[in-house]
Amino acid sequence: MVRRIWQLLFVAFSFLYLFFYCGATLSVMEQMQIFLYDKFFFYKHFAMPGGLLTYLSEFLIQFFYYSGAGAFIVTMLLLAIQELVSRMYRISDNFYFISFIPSFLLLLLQTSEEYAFSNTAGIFLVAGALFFNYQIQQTTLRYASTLASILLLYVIAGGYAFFFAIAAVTCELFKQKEYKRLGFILVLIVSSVFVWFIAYKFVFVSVNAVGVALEPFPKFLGMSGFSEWGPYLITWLFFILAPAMPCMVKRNGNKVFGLYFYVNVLSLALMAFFTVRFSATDRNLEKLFLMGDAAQKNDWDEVLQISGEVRQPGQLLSLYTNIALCKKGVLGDKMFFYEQPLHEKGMYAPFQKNPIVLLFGSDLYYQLGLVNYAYRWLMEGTVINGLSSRFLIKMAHIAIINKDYALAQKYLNTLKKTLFYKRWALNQERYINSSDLSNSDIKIKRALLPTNDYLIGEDFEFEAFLTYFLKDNPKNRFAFDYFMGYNLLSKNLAGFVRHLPLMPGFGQRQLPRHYQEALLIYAMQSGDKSLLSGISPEVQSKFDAFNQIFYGSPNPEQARKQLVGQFKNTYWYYFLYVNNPKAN
Amino acid sequence: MRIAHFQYYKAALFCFIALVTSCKPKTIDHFISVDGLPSIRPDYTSVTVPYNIAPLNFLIEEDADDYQVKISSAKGKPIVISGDKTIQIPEKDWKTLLSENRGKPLFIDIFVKKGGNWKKYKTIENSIADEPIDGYLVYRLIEPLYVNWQKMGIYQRCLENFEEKSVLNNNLTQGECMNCHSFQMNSPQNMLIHLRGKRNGGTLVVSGNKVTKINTKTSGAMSPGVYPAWHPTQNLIAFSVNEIGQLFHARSTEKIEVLDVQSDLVLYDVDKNQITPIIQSNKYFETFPAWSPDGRYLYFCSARCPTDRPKTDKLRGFDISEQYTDLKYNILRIAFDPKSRKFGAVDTVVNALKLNKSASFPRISPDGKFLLFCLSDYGNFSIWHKSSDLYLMNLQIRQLSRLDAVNSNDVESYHTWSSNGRWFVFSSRRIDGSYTRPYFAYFDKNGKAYKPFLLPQEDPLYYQSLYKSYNVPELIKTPVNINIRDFEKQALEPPKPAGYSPVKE
Repeated sequence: MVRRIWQLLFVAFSFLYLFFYCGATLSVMEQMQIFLYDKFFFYKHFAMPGGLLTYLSEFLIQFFYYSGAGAFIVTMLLLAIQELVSRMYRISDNFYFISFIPSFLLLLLQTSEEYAFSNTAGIFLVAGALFFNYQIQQTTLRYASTLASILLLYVIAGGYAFFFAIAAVTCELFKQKEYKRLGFILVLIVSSVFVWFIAYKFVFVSVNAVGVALEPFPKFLGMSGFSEWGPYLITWLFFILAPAMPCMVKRNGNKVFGLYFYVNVLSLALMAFFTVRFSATDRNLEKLFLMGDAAQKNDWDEVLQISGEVRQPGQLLSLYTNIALCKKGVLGDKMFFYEQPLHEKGMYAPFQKNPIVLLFGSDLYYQLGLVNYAYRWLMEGTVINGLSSRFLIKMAHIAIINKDYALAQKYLNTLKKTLFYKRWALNQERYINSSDLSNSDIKIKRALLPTNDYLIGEDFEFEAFLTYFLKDNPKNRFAFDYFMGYNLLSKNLAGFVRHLPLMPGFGQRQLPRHYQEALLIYAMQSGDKSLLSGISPEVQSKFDAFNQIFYGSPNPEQARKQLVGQFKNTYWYYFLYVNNPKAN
Repeated sequence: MRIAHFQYYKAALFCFIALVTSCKPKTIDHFISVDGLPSIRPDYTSVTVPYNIAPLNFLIEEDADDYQVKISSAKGKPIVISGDKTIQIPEKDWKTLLSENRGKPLFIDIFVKKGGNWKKYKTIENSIADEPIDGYLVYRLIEPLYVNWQKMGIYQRCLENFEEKSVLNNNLTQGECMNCHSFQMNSPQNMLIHLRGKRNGGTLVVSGNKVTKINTKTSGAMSPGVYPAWHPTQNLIAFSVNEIGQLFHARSTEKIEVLDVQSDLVLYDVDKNQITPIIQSNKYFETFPAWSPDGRYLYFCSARCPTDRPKTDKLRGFDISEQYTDLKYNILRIAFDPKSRKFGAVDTVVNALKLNKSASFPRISPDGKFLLFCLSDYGNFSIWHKSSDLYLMNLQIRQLSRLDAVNSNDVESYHTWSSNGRWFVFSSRRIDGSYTRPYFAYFDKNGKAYKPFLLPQEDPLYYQSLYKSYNVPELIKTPVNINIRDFEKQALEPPKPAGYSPVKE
């Protein structure tokens, strides 16, 4: 009964933690993969060892579309692993918390969007196989069953079969008493090598020797800190070393609120604490995906609202904020109401071999109307990441804008084979070969496309690129605003002033607020007052007040302290103080 | 009792016969004839096929309650398939029917049942050629490439069935890039595979049963060997050496532009492991070497460099990219004496510049009479040029013709001849404009090419699910027999450096 209470507490913690704290991470996992109800997709998995395991994992991950379902699936799997561990190693009530160690570690791993969920499924299979085999009392039968399990596990889960074999060796060594077990251990090792050899020589002839043994184990390459690879290692070591821990087999019938109860309470609380403390969940990445979702729905208010909740935005978050401001047509009025710690680097993402950067960085080019370049980033991302629903949706959309209808149909046909994106794909099919594009983003994007074709390099200087892009299509308002925003962030006032007359309706309507603020600085620096006719009295008087405080203070730092409250959201404050606190 | 037993066996026999006969499709006698060909995918209508090709499985693109397909020819039992819109033809029956009817027509009758009534489309009339195609196709499978790559491999597909095997893939070479597999006269006895990358770069050269990894980058050439061509009779490989740049189109749906900043031709002597220059020039680019079948000429593409800046000038690449549409390649050939191994005079075979076009991938038919090549609006990397079409030159009368039966509105590019010269394979992006697929075309003795057909697959929907392109399709007579593990071993070895002799052969 007490065990059930511990389990219930774990389930509640795991589910709520995943649902409320890691919901977006689960969603990211789902969006960065794809599961197709298609035989070719099924067959494809058998090219590598453990293909069935990865297939089943991907099947489960598709339900992470709903973070509640994702939290539930993960929690149930972790509970099943805990129950198997508890039964397999006959862990006593007194040390019941030990049975939760692998599940808590796997929960911790699950907090990273890069985690290979197949590892949890693989551990579950190994725990299940160990439990099944060590229920068998008859020695010969157990030996035969263990050997058969290696083969079966290899077929389903590849390298996890050898992990099972190692755990079975320690189980035999520490939990069994017969002398003949030593001979069996030898047979077990030889059989494992034999399975590997057969697979290497005849089945997976296109896979290297290490891959035949280890696929689909997560790869440690690229994992730098212990917090990244430590939980994996401890989980695996747990299964290998657990049989050697004699205290676990001791069963005590202590009273409910005895000493061991508090040992369990404390241990479980500590494990929960460490899970939260060392969680790999990247809150900013979650925000980025949420912004991306809103952007996909053209809900730029939502993007800005999320942006307002972000602390210390990275390059992609700043990029999204600026795109959203530009889409709303308020970049010139509001951009300094948002943190711009990266200056002009918050206006674009440099090309990287990172699928997240490629996925979100491509959105700038998409919004600018340079859809070919956005497509290039998405294709590069797909190559690194593999097919994913998120990439395919964007690629299909671009193909429709480009009138590459056959290509768009290929992408839509693939999405039609998914459970949750089928409806979207069917809906998009109406744009194929259609001239009726009323109220569609496609029509808007087509108007923004470059008017002429020209070549763009692999890497380019962003400012020069924007200049060229704008020159090609001066009617592209998004590109103009973005370019002006770039000049303001890079504090290039000469460039800003030079291009300002290109603004649609220049001289006829009031300039955006930050433009006016920039012009006032420019006029002060250069003495050129020809552009000051567009300054509103309100901005002018605010500027006078700013100057009064600035020049009235004994030093710039003291001035900053006075200015931050009233002028933090002005270009003047950004120009003088952002990343430049000791400006003179 | 005996009578009862007899009744029992009789009933069982009756059931068995009933079962067998019920499995056999019934002939449809009553139907409405429809004037027009059915829509099938892939388009296997009015094509000419070799008698040794795998079954041309296809999909009937029409929703109906029932389907029946009858495949027949002049002789032999027709093949009847029914029940599903996906038509998968039994391999054995197909093979028998085609081998019995070489040189004869192949008929496909398609019936569809809707609302209780059968309708029959106009009979598809294909042709079975009397000449076989080489048994294997070798290609690289890779995503339409920009800069990144992840998984890729070189595969060989038996054209007589659906078996595909990996020759080498980059899971075995620590993830590095590979391409430009090349064979001597459609034979895998002498072949090569390029591996690119800092760790395991080099060229795997197979000579007989021996695999050697060579570093073809020498002090005398700007790059390792890039586009290869085995001499038809000698252990010599002509390579282009290229400095290549990649750029992206802002508007055009061609998306990528691959340009040479400079390129020359060199000759690699497999036995001596030595490289010598063939043509080196600052003012001209030379690329895509191809030998004539008698080995007496080396064909290649050549374009005038649009800038006068020297090779060492960093702005040379910029100048070229600014004038990329002015890059027009002609097809030239240089004489070669296989005995003395000396190169001779150069002459222009195809003056594409005069047509305001650009030529690439020259390939001479095995009888030496025809030159097959790509002609596009500019440049040499025709796989990204929608204007790229296949053209033919009759070398005896130097007459040029566009292969209208073969070309489409999209890209037609890399091509190779079958060893008997009656077939050629080429890459095309006609299905979706992005993913390259291999097509085969029959080529008769008079130099006429026929409507091509797509490489058949066991499941006709295969290409829809494939997110990789077929790259550099090469026909070979027999399979590559080098064990993949031997390739792997050699691929991971450090390459043997090739020597360089500045003296031309």
